[in-house]
Amino acid sequence: MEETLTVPGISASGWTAAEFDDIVRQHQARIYRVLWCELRDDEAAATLTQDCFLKAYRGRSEFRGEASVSTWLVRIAVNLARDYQRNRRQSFWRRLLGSNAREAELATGVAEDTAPRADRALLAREQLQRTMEAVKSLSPQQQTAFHLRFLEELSIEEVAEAMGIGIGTVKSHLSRAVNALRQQRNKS
Amino acid sequence: MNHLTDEQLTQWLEGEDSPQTQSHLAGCAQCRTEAQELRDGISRYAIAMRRQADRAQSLCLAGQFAPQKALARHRLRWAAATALALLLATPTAWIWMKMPHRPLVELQPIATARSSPQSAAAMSDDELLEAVNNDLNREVPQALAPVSAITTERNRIAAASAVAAIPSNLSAK
Repeated sequence: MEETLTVPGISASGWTAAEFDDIVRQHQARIYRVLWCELRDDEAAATLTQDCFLKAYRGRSEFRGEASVSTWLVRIAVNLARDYQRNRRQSFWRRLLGSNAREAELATGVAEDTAPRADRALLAREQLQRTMEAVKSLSPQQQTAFHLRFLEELSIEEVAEAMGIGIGTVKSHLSRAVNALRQQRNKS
Repeated sequence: MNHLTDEQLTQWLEGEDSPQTQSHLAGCAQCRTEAQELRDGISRYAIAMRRQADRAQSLCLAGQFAPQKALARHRLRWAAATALALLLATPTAWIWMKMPHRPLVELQPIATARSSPQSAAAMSDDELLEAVNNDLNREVPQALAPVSAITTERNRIAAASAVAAIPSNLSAK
């Protein structure tokens, strides 16, 4: 889990440009990853990562140090991804073709990386494929909760804070994700 | 036998499983296998997604810097071309400067320069007048004078040869 920069009792508006540069350096990989997992679009993730930090810098006076900087940035990123997806819904074909190609590449890549032997590679690929199918069947909110919890390893409370929802709702989303994974496993 | 619910499995994944869940997993091979596969699947998915995202980010960063690299290459090419041009031009210029120079065109008045070895200033008025007069009466242009002289000379030699070749009896007639 990445180290988060907490600034207890200090409002973000007090950050100097150099301090904010440090924050960008420290968190940009995570923010990009969060956006990439939400969108599966390299360029969009890069653009929105920049937007995220720009928005954070402009809105730094709103940050009161109650949450970690990381959670605060993830929240901005998640909201940006939501807005982007809302605007992108029209481009159906792009989404469909892009995600299929990317998932095939992803499955092949991880199978080769994690399992040297052919039978293990096949098993790993199938398992990954099943997980991907299960995650794809979730709602956007459930997917976000799943990614933040299991990829970014945020705590349930941090996921709730980042998504602006209650802890119970996060648990419900995760439970739904587990259900989808089980169903997918039983299908095969 | 009741197997584990989604909530119980989620809690197990979170590490917050109850003693009942633990005891069930200890005794139920089906749930144990399912829970382990679930955890492995999520783990593989997380690794794959992280790796892919990091790769995509690296490519994006490389792409961002690509125009600058291209610009640098472009400047480097121009600098190399300029250096090469200077390298070639410098010795050429040096050689050219060291060569003895002759004026390409004589600036003296054509009539006086060509008609007389003397300069116009050294000529008397009568001599100058005669030179100009000769020029004006010339049958061929100044530029063709050498060719005309050669032609005249050749014709003269040919005529002399022809006369020499005529038999004496015919010449007597």
